[in-house]
Amino acid sequence: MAIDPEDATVLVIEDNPSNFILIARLLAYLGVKQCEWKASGWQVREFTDTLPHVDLILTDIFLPERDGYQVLDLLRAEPRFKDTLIVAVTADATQTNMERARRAGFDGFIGKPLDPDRFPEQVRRILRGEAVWEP
Amino acid sequence: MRPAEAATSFQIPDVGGRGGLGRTLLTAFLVLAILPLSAISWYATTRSRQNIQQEVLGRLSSIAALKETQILDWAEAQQAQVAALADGAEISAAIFEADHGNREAATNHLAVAIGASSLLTIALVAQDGAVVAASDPALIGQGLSPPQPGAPPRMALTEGGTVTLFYPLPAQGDGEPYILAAWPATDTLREILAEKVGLGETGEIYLTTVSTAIPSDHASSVALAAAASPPDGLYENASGVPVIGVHRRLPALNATLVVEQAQEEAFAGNDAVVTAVIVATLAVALGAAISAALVARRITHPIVRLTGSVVRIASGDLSQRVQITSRDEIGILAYVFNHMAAELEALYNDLEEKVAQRTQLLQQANYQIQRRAIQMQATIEVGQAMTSILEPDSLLKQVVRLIQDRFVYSQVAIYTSDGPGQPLALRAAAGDANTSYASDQPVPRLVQRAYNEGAPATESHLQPITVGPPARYVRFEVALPLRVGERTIGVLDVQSTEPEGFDADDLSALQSVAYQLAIALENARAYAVEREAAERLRQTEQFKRNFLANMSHELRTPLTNILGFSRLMLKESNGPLPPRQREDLQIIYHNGEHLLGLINDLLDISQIEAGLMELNAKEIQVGELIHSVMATASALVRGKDITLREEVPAGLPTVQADPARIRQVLLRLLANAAKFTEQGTITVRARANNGQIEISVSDSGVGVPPEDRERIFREFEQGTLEGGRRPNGAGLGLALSKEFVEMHGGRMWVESEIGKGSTFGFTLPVRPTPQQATLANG
Repeated sequence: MAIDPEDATVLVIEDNPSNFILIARLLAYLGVKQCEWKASGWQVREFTDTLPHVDLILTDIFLPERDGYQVLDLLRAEPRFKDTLIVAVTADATQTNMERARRAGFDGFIGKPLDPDRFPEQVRRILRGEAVWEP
Repeated sequence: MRPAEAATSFQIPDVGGRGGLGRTLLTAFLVLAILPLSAISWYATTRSRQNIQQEVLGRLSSIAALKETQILDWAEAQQAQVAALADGAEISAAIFEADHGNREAATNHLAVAIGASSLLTIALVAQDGAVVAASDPALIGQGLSPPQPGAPPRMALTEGGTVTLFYPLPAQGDGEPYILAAWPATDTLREILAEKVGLGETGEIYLTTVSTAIPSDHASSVALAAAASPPDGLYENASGVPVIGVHRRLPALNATLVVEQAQEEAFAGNDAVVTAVIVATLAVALGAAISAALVARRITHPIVRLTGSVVRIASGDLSQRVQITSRDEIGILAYVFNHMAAELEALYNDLEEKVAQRTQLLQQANYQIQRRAIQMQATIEVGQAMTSILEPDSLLKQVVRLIQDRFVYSQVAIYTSDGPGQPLALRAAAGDANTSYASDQPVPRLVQRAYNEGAPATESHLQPITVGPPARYVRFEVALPLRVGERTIGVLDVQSTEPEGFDADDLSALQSVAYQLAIALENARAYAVEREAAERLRQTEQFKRNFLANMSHELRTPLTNILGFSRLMLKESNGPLPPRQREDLQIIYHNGEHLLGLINDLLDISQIEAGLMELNAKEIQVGELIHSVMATASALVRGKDITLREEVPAGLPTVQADPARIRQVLLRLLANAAKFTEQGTITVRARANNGQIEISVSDSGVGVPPEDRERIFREFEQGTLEGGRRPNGAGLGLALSKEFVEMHGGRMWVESEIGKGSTFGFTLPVRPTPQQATLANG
C-alpha cells in the first residue's frame, strides 16, 4: 500500500520551528505537498480533527504538554488513526529509546540530527510501507 | 520443714508370730521354773512309790513267812497222821486183803482206819497208779500218778483245791508194794489262807502249782499268775488286775505260796503324795507365771514407751521425751534417748534456721541473677536496636524506652551535643508521668558535670512525692558520659527510685549500654555523613546522566539545523554558491559532523556507564565489514601520502557481533591511524587465531610512548601528535572502542615503537560467549 509522496498528507509535530522548517524543506524536496505542523502535544487530537486526511505523522518525543508517547496513545485510541503511520523523529536516538518506541507502537524511528542526504529517502520508504528504524 | 512426708511412709516393723519381748520373757521364765519342778516332782513321786513298794513287799513277805510256817506245820501234822495211820494194823490188813484180791475187805479196812483220823479219804494205789482200794469206793479203778516206790512221801496240790499225800508203804511178803494215798481235810489250810491280816481289802493269799492253785477264798482267784513262779513285785494277776505280790516256794507241797495285794490299794498312799506334789507344782508355776508377767511387764513397759517415742520422733515429732526415771539400764537408755532427741531437735531446728537463711540468700542471689539476666537481655536488645536502627532519633527514643522498661528505672534521658564544647540538648527521654525532663528545661547540673568531666557522676536527692499524702522519697541519679575515644558526645542520664539505688552491677551494665550507645551514635553520625555523601554522589551521577542525555538531546536539535541547512545549502538546492562560501559552509558542515560524533560518543559512554548499552549482534563476515569500512576510510587519508592496505585471508569464520559497533571501532582505529600518521602505510589485517578473529590496524606514524599505552584507553585521555600538539576530539574514541570490544567478549591492545608506528588490535571470539549468545537471541 504505497503512498505517493505527492499525494500524501504529512503531519509534523515538532517544537523546534527550525527543525520543522528543515523537515518541511526536505519533505518538499521529496515532493510532499500537504505538510501540516503542530508545535506541541497540546490539543493534538482537536487539531487532527480539523484535517480531512493524514497519511503520515512524524512526531518528536520531547514535546511540551504531551510527549510523543502520549500523543501516540491518544491518536491510536482514535479509530481513524489506528492504522495511520506514526513515526518517531527524536534527538534521543539511543537503541534503548528506539526499542521503547517499537514496543509503544510506533511504525518507525528516525534519529536526529536528520541526515539531509538520507531523510527524504527514509520518508519515501516509510510511505512505501517499509519499516525504517534508524537512530 | 518437718519431715511430715517421711512419717507417712514410716512403718513400724511387725514383731511377728513369735510374740513380743514380754511373751518371750514369760515363756523363758515358765520353762525355767516348771521344768525343774516337774523333774523334782517326778523324782519325789517315783521314790515315794518305790518306798511304798518296798514297804508293801516287806509286809507281804512277813505275811508269806507266817503263812508258810503255818502251812508247813499243817503239812507236817498231816504227814504225821498218815505215817501213824500207815503203821496201824488196819492198813496192813488192807494191804493183805488187797494182795489177795479182796478189794472189798481192803476197802473196809481202809474205812475203819480212816475213822480214827481227820483224813477225808485214803486209798491204796498200785505202782502203776491204779487205785486198788479206797475209803471212798468211787475212787477205785481210777488212775493216779504216785511216786516211785522207795521214794520219800510226797504231798501234792491237786485239781479242785485238794491236797494229795502219797505215802509209800513197805511191801508185805512178796506182795506188791503199795502206796497209801491220803486226802486230808483242807479246812485248816483254807483257814490259814483266808486269814488276811494286814492285806487290806484287796489282799489275796493262795497256793498254786503250775496248774493248780488253792484259792484263799473264792474260785476266781484260783487262776495262776503269768508264770509258775512269778517274781516278787508288780505284775498283773490271772484276773488282769495290776497287783503287787510275793511268792514263796513250798517244796513240801510242791506248790507256791502267793501273797498279793491290788496296786491300787497298795499305792493308795502314794497317789495322795502325787496329788500333793502336782498341786504344789501347779501352784508354784502359777506364782512363777504371775511374777514373770510382772517382771516382763516391768522390763517391757519402758521399752514400749521408748519405742512409741522413737516412732513419733521418726514421724517427725522431735519434741518427744520419755518419762522414765528408773535407775536401771532402761533408765539410762531413756536418759540417753532423751538426750539424743534433744540433740536431734536442736540440730533440726538449727538446720531449719540454716535452710531458711540459705533460702533467703538463694532468693537474693536469684533476684540478682534475674536482674542481671534482664539487664543482659536489655543490653543485648539495646545493642540490637543500635545496630539495626541507623536513624539517630528513633534509635535514641527506642533505647531510652528499652532502658527504662527493662532496667525498671523511673526516668531515662539522653543528651547529645553537636561536638566537643557544644551545648548539650535533650534528644530522647522516657519515664514516669511527673518527668523532670523537657526540652525547654535547662540541662540538669549532674548531666552537665558528667559531660564536662567526661566521667560518670552520681547523686541522690530527697524528692517530694506529688501524688497522695505528703511524703518524700530518695531519688538516685547517675549520669554516664557517652564517649567515643577521647570525645564526649553526650550523656546518658538515669534516675531510679528503687530503695537500693544503683549497685556496681547496675552501673557496669549501664556503662556498657552507654559505651554501645556512644558507638551507635557515632556510627549513626558517620552513616548520616556517608549517606549524605552517597546521596550527593548519586545525585551527581544522576545529574551527570541527565545532563549528558539532555545535552545530547539539546545539542542534537540545533545540530539538526546546522547540519541540515548547511547540507541543503551545499546541495545548492536554493541556488548556486560562490566557491568561497561553499568552502566556508563545508567547514561548518564538517565541524557540525565532528560535534555530532563527540555527542554520540558521550551518549555512548553514558549509556555504557548506566549499563543501558545493548549489542545488536548478528552473524557477520569480518572481511566484508573491513572492506566496506576501507571505502569510508579512504576519505580520512585524502591529501596525505598514505597507502591503505587490506590483508584479509579468504575463508575466515563468521563472528557474532554488532556490525554497527565493530564498524565504529574499525573506523576509529583507522581515523586515529590517519590522524597520527603523515606518510607511509596503514594496514588492516585480519586472521583467525585460536578460536578468535584477530583484527589489527598498523600505521607508520609517530608511535605511542610506553607511558601512554594504558592511559590512551581511558576516557578523555589523548595521545600526542608530532610536535606535542594535541589532536582534535574529546579523547573518547579508544575508551569507547575498548568497551565495545570487551562487550563482545574480546580484548584490545596496542603495540608501538616510537617513530616507527603503532599497531592497535582487537579480537572477536568465533564462538559466541554465553553473554553474547543471549544477546544474539534477544
